[in-house]
Amino acid sequence: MNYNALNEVDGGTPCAPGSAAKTRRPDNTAFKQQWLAAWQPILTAGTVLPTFFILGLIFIPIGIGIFDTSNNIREIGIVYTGIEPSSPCNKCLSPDVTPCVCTINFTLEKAFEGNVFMYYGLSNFYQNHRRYVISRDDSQLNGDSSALHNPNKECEPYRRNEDLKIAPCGAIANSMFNDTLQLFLVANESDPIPTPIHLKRKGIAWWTDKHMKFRNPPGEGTLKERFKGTTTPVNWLKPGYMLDSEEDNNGFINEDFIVWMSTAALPTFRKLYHLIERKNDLHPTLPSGQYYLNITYNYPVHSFDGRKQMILSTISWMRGKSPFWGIAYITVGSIAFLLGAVLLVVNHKYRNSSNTADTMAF
Amino acid sequence: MALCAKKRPPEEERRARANDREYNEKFQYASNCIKTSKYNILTFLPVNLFEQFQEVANTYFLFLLILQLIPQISSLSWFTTIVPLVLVLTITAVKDATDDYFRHKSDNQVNNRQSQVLISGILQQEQWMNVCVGDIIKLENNQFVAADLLLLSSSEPHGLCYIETAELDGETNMKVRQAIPVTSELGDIGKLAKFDGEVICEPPNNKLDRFSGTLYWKESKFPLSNQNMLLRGCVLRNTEWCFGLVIFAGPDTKLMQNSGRTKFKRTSIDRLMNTLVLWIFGFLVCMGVILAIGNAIWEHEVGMRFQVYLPWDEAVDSAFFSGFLSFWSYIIILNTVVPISLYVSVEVIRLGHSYFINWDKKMFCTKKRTPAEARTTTLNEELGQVEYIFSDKTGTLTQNIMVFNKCSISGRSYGDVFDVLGHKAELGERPEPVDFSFNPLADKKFLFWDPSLLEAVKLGDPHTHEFFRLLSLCHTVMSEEKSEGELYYKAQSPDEGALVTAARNFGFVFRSRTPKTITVHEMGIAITYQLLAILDFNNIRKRMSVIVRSPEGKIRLYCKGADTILLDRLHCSTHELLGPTTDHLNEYAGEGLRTLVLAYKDLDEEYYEEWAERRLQASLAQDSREDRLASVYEEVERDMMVSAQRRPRAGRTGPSLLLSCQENALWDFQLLGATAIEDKLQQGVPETIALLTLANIKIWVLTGDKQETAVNIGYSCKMLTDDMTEVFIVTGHTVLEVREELRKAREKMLDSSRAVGNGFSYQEKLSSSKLASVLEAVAGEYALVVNGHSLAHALEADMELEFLETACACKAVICCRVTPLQKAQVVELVKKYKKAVTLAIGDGANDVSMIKTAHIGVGISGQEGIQAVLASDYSFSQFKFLQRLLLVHGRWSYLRMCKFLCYFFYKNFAFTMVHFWFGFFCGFSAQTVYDQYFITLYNIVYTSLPVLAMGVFDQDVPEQRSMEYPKLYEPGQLNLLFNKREFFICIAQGIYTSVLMFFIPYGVFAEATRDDGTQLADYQSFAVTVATSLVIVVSVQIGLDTGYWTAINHFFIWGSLAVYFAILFAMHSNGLFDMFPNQFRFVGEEEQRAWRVCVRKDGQSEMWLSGADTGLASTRSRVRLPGMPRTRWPSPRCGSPSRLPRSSASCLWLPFGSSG
Repeated sequence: MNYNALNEVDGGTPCAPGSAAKTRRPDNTAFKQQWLAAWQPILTAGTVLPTFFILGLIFIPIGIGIFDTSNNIREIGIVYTGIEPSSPCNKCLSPDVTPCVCTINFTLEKAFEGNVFMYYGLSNFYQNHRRYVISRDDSQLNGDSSALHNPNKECEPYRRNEDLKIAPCGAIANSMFNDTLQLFLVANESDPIPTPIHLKRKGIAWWTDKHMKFRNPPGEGTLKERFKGTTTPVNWLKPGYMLDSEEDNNGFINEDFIVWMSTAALPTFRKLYHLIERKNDLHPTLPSGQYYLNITYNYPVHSFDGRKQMILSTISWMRGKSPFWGIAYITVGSIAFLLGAVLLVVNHKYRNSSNTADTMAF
Repeated sequence: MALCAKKRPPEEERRARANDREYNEKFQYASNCIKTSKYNILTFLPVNLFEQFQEVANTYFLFLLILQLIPQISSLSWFTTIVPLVLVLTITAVKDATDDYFRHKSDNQVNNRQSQVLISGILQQEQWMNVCVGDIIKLENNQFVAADLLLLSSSEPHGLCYIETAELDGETNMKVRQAIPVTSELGDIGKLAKFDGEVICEPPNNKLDRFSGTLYWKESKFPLSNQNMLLRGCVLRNTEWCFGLVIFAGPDTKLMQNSGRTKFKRTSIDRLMNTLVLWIFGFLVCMGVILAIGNAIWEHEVGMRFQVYLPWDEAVDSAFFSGFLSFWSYIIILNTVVPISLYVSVEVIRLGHSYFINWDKKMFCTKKRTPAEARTTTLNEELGQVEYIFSDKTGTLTQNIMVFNKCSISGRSYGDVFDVLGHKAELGERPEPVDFSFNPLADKKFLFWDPSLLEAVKLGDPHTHEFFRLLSLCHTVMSEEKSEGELYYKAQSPDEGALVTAARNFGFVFRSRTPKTITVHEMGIAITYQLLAILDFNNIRKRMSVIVRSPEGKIRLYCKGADTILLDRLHCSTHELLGPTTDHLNEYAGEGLRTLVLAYKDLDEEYYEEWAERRLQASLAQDSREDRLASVYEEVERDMMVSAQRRPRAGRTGPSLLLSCQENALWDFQLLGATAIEDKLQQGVPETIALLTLANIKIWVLTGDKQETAVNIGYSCKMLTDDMTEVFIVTGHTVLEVREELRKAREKMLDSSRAVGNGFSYQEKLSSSKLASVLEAVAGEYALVVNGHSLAHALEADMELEFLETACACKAVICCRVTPLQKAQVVELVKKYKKAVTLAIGDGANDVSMIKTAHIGVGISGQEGIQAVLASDYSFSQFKFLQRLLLVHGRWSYLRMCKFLCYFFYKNFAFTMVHFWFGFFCGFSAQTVYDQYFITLYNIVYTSLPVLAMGVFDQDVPEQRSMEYPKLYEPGQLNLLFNKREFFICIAQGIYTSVLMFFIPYGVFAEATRDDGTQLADYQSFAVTVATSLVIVVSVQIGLDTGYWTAINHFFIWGSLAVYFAILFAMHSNGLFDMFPNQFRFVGEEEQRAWRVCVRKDGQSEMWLSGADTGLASTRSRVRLPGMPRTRWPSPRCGSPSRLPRSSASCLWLPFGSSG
């Protein structure tokens, strides 16, 4: 790279000497004469090759680090759609059984340390469909009372039920995930009474979602009174004001609801369901052993080939388990390195041959 | 003002009766009110919008906007389209409005000028716009002529008046106009008020130098010609007053008829761009169809069952219909592959380049105080692709400052400089110039070195006297005598000025002229000749004559003209004088001088009377008057004969011998001799031509001069060199001869290339297509010189290809003796068959057709008025600026435009194709990846300025380098930097980027969670991540593409990034969401999220990844394969002219060639 200073070549036309009219004479400024000082980065072998190698040297270790960390993350997923006839949840596929509770056993080979996160995962579920994404009313969710009673048109066909307006309106809210998952640890074979694992329901939503974007309808009285004049989405089993027993996790600010409302980008996604907080340093949060998952199966996905699963995962500094990430880093680093090497060889070879060509030409 | 424009059926002829408004009103001629403005306040909006929507691009976007208003289709809010559309429309509208405002202002000013109109017998002040056809108006000195007038009378004797026509044709010399004799007596108002003549004339047209009409008055007919007309736009000079009858008014005037728009030229890049836009559009439809089919299948397979959670729209009852709708939805969101800003940006860049040309002080000529001017702003990049230059000679290659240099009188040549020993002296060692002090009227600036000519004059040699008498009489120069003895000549052509000045210094001083007389001081004695007729010069006749009656009463016709014309006409009984004169002519022409032959002829009284009558008849003719006049002229100039003279020794011509001859040939032409005028080469012409030749530009000189002159100029400006293998000269007079000459030339070229051993068999070149390719590769340097009469045959349909192939195989082509039409035909021929960019450069009116025909027309603002400049696309005052215009400005413009287009298509494909990939993961529902504000602003805010800055300011090599190494010009000619291949590479790169932009976040997001365990795979984080990486990646790309980082580039690139982040955070702030929860629903997210995505490691890694990856990919554009230190700075060896062609090609390929 070199810096090209202002090029001071005064090329006054030697047309003829003589008094020039200043008026029509172009200004002699760097801008107008295109002499602006400029940095002219020239990509040469000397700059490009090291760049490639340095890129490679940086990316490959990072990739390896990430990959390794990702491998150390504990994660287990339990599919409970119940499509296979052998599955305990198979019975729930028929709509007649209500409520349908099924239980799935699983084993943790290794203990889960630190905070453990419980997700529900859905696949083939198009939360990113255009018509789905727009089917909501943010004013209503933000506690706007006029919007509460008059949601916008986008919510159709989940805008009103009979004469009553639906709150929360729209297809997103209507399709809210409503399975209940409970986790039990089977302490040992002999003890018949399993220990329920305490699942924390709060702290799973983004802070600002909970405190800025979602607000319950204003007004005095109980939540039920504030929702007066509206009706619950048709698919919901419980009304909106009864999603949780705690006042600050109910109605529109119910965290499960908030999590559901921030739509997923891809048709296969997972959403945070509950937290399992680390109790102390001595015991792992989830010791290895036998567990069973108690599912209240309300949410039909079978009709559109959807799949449901429960995922338990720990978290590291680089977030959840994601082997892709490390691999991507390693790949990019390798490509950079490889390109650098190829260019180096070609450069070496070409320089020789071009030298000979030049000498031959003369 | 709205009254101004009325459509009328085309006129057959025009009738106007003086002082009879009622009569004239019947015809409803246009009033004198002009209207160049297009709009008024009320009509501006509808008319302007209507005009703008005639642009296909604008209509297309309007169509998209309408689509977006249909809720089932709308995949994007209306503002994503309307914001750019309104922006583009507004900018154009504002520009149109300002232009129109100024037009209104000037219209008003012009229409409200005052003029004196004779109404019912008294002069009244009237505004120009109220002047009608048939009115008589009075003009005073220095006033503008209000309409096209028939001159009736003036303050000067004989109804003369003087006008300046600078505004019409740019010529600043004064011209004389004369009233016809019958009306010239109508000097006072009383007589004029009674004048009731009727003029019947041609309908309005745009021919400035032609008018034919007839005045019917008092039951007689009087012919009217252009000589009697005062055209609107002229200024009255040196004339106290004059009266004129309005013939054409307002829009019918020749000035307004001429102001029509010239044909719009388009560059090859323009055409390519339009093709590519069409292809892209096709591609867009294909993508739409693919996605629509995808949608139909998806709705059928999945969507139908997914209705549990997402029921179909009421209006949509089938998967097929849904697919149909989603086709339109996808057309809307994918339309950004053809962004509306493309055309606007291209215009802006070209405008910038035009300004750089105007501002270039190295193309400013201090002497003439004229800067270069880009008169057309749309052709700049084509300046970087020129392959053929067609140049005029006189005034273009030469200065067009004529100097009387030599002459041949009665077979003796004067003007050579001899030193003491009698040898021809070389330049630089000239003796003292001839002393003209005997003549008080001599021009001090005139220099002549041969004293023997003056001696001959002083000795009273009759031939010499007749020679100079002819020069002082036969011309159209005007004289102006400011004070006694201080004569100034105003000549329409510099040749005439030089000749008259020469005569003046040798004692034959042209003093003054009236329409009927010419006064000459012959050796100090004032003699007044009666001027009987002037047979004007034109390009077809190539001669001019005057018929004068001497004070003794003898009628004599003096003629000067081109030798081919005149010598043919000489019917000579002996060749004695013809021989030496022809020798001299050849000698002069060989020295590059312009020659004219002079001859005279005595006419007898009866013949003249009879001829004058025929001439009057011809000039009265309504139709084909020009032709008739020409044939009458031809008649009197026929039978010019060189009298049977011996070659006379100067000063010793036997009078008896002369007399005896004249008896035989009383009516025959006497050859007087010939003049030779020197026209010096302009400064820097040989260097420029050499440089342009090195840049592989072929230069053809098309000149009206004779062959020897042209060839000589060719040598002196290094077009022809002694190193050349052969110079072919085609002078055949018949088709067969020309064909034979061309065939021989080709054979010679092929023979020599076979001799070199290229191994072409003779059979191979028989097929015509092969022939061309073989000829292209001919070894050795050849040149072709074609004569005008041969060219006429060569340009015939069955021979033009042969001619072109032969000519193109030659390094240099000179066509001499060509007419303006032939110039245009030659250009047209090359344009038609070579698919190459042509440039025509010239300075005179005879170059206009060529300038208009070529892809690029360059006008030299020189001595010959500004008609060429007015027709041109670029103008400057020196030929040598051409090298700078092409090699620096043209090359840069081309480079910048190509880089701009490549990047522009790249960035839009990278941006848009992400939607396509996303379609496969969102049920083909036309869901966008980015938020709508990003889509709106991407093209107009985030990525527009850096690429504009690159398009305007980029430089690959400094200007000196492109002059030093003209080979750098070749990529433009070969169209290497932006063609269909490059386009596909750019597109592929864009698609590749879009794949990375989508699938890397996809891979990461599929299972991503944040470090507090909450999910990250929500749509908004995904969108922000993709958008941010995209902005960073395309910014990195523009950074790599930008080769010349000025402060402005820095500002725009970093500024665009800064603006992106500023807007991102502003959009994601709580404040906006609080205000408009619904509108900003998508973005209704907190700063934290944006921060998290962008700054903290959540999104960062994706961006780094994709950024680095794309960076790797991007290097395509700039990291060239090794030998790198040399790639951008061609080594001195590469650029030097002495190097072999083969190695030059490899040097050349490096900077632009294939990539890593």
